[in-house]
Amino acid sequence: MEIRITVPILKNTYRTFLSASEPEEFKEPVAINDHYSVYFSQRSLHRLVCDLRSGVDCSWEWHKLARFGAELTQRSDFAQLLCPVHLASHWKAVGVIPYPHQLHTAHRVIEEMRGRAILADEVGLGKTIEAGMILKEYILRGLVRRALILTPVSLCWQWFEELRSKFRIPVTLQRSQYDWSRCDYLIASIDTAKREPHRAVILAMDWDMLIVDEAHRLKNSNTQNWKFVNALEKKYFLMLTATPVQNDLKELYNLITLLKPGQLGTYSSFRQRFVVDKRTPRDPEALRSLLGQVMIRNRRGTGTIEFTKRIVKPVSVELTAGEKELYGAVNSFIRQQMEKSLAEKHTILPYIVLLREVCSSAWAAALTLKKLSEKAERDLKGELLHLLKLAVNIETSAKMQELLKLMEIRRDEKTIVFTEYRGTQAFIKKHLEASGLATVTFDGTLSAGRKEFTKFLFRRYGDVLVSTESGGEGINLQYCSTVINFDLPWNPMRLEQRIGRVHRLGQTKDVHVFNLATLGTIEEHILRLLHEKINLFEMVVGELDAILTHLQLTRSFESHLVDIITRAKNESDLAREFDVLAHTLLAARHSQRGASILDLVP
Amino acid sequence: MGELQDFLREFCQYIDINCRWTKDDVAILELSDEAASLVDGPRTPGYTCQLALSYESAQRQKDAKLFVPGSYHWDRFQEITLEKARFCRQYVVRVPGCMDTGEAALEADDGQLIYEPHLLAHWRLSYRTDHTTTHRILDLTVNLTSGDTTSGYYHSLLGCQLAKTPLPGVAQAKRRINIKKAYDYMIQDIAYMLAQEDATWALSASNRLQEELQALEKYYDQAIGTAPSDLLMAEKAMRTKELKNRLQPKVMASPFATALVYVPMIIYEARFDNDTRYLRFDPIIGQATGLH
Repeated sequence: MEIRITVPILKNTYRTFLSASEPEEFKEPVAINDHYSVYFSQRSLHRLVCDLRSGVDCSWEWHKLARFGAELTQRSDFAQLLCPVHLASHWKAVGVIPYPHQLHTAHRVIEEMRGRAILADEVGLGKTIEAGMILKEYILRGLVRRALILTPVSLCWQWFEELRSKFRIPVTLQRSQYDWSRCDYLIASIDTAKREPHRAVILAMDWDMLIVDEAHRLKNSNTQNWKFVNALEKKYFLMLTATPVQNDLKELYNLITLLKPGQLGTYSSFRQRFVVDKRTPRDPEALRSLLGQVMIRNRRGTGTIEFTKRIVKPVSVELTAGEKELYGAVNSFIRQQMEKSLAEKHTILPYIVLLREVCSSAWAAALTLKKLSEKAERDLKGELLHLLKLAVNIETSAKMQELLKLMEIRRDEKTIVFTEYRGTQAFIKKHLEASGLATVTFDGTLSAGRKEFTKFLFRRYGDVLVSTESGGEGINLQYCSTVINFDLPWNPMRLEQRIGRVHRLGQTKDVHVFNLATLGTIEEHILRLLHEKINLFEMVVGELDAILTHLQLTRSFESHLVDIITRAKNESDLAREFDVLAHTLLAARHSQRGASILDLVP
Repeated sequence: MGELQDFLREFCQYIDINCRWTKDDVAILELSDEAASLVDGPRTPGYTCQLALSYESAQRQKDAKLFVPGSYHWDRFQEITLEKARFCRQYVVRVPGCMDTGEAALEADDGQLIYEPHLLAHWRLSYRTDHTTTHRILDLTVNLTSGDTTSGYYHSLLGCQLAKTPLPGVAQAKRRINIKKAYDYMIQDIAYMLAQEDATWALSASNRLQEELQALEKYYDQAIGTAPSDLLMAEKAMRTKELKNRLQPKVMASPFATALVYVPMIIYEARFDNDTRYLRFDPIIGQATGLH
């Protein structure tokens, strides 16, 4: 009788399977004096007894060589970092060059901050690399054997790839609840980790190192995130964030207290000593000194870290006759609906989205018009179908023609084209492929594995990557030097994020950014606001964020623009409202230069 | 660099890797399939690689991999060496100037030659503070017959000839001490040695730890004082444990290469009246001890 046995394939390296029969590494410590104890290896004794019994027998030559090698290793200078020496050949092979500020940060965290720090470098300066270096250093020194990296789910794969490919750290992506105890170096989504049944398992373990990315999500001590991280037992702890403080000095206090309780005292003593109001510190020098003991922030700019140039060009596009007709018709339709919505208290937002889609492409607008018409009541249905007919009959897209011209100019460079709409993305892809360009698309619906494959395809074979907003988050494309914004996001921070994917450390060429905007439309006003009025692209990264936060506009900048559109009765009203907004932003920028919370970070 | 070359030369000799040198202090290694599998994992086919023994030569030679203490290839070769050298069993067959002939009967003179098993272990001591680690290597040997522990015996053995088989006709003394007990003797010796040493290296680290603990204590006393809770007490205990784990100075001691070495002792017998006295002479270190 045939017996079939199925053997499961083990995907992870499970420590417990390998070391099930081995005792713990070290015995109970022997106290030498009041200052230190000595820990003797128990596992070595166990192995010695096993070797004796099993008849293991090497040669005397090997024995002498082992002693010789150990002496040579011991004599080398361990005051320097081990990680760059250990990885020197590998980095040479994969083309990694650690920047001086990254090495300096790793050194400071280990030597001065004893492995607990907030890495608060500006966007694009390589915080992940710094964290990887610190982790690898501790592994090489034998001080870290279990590490947990908590990140937003969208960044898990990137961490996995960076730590494996650049640092040769055998990390695993957490998939099942058994991974927590079986894998030594684990990357997981913080949202998964803080939920049961995972939470209980993780809290029961002690970790040599914990790394939390996007740590500004821990700024509120009342959140589940903060409480979960606070409850974890960890020897070394790194928090990574480009914006350690946004609105309120209390955020800073919560973050620092998570890292090193007592560094800023209790909250009441902190308020008494350091807070005038929630954004104004008292005794900033003393506060900066305390922060400097636990936080490192590297900045872009002259004299610090040199970047390639960012050359930004607004590209005004004259709509075709058909497109103008469509925009005009949609605009009138929306104005009618706005008046109705004020009277009948309907939401106008879907129609504002439609207006933006018209500026992007007739194709995107057509898809929305079709959906709206299917749900609309009879009186609206007719108008929507009329607009749909106008959209469908448009044969040429002025923006697409402009894009093809730009692609011709930047022919020899890999290009990334951003659009907000999947309809426009499909439209762009079709036309680029028809013109003979190898086109790859990237959007939020792709699985993690698919995203990595897409990036690989683009890097190896693609001429152009057409991405929706999700491509603006986390993925690094330093090998690309051209960004084309097919349509403009209404939140300027998102625009900055898009460009930041390309214009970052590791970029060797000047980055060319083209912002397409259709003349005579809402896009023209936005482009004028960003380019001419507030000089968005001249700002230091983080400055815009600070300004928007100061005006409490970070999340609601888009809704603020919607309000402007809703209020304006005609084009000159619209232009005036945008001017007012520009003045407000500029005034905020000037006052920010006097005192920014971010200035506190040393 | 001469020592690095010596190490690499010997390593290649034992693994059977063909190794030649260029003028730039770069070693060209031709690894067979077997050697490649040992270095890079199973089923790796043989290949040629270049190892640069200095940063300068690594920069000059584009394809050469850095081979200095701390580099990946150095660490890998050390791992292989330590795995190969885990344990060996050897007999001392010649001691220069003392046991040269290889003939047991001649060497014993009018005494008796007997092999006494010695457990030899090389220990790595890592002195760890909150931000530095220094290492020290020492060897300890425990005579498994008498229980005597000696430090530095290994260097005396280096001058001798050792073999896998004993001199014919030489008896072996019975082990009175098992391996675990011998290990304990070594531990006691190391602890005693450390206790005699200057502890300044640990003092400043220990003081820093106390400062941090006091600051933590103060913070939680104030926090608990205003809003006492079990949660805060538990948190305080956890943070205190973390701090000690991270900042407490400590020494980590692990043996990394061990050997069971059978050392020939010459036992002399002397009669006084009705009393018989024995003398044990260790030809390795030239030391005599009385036996009862």
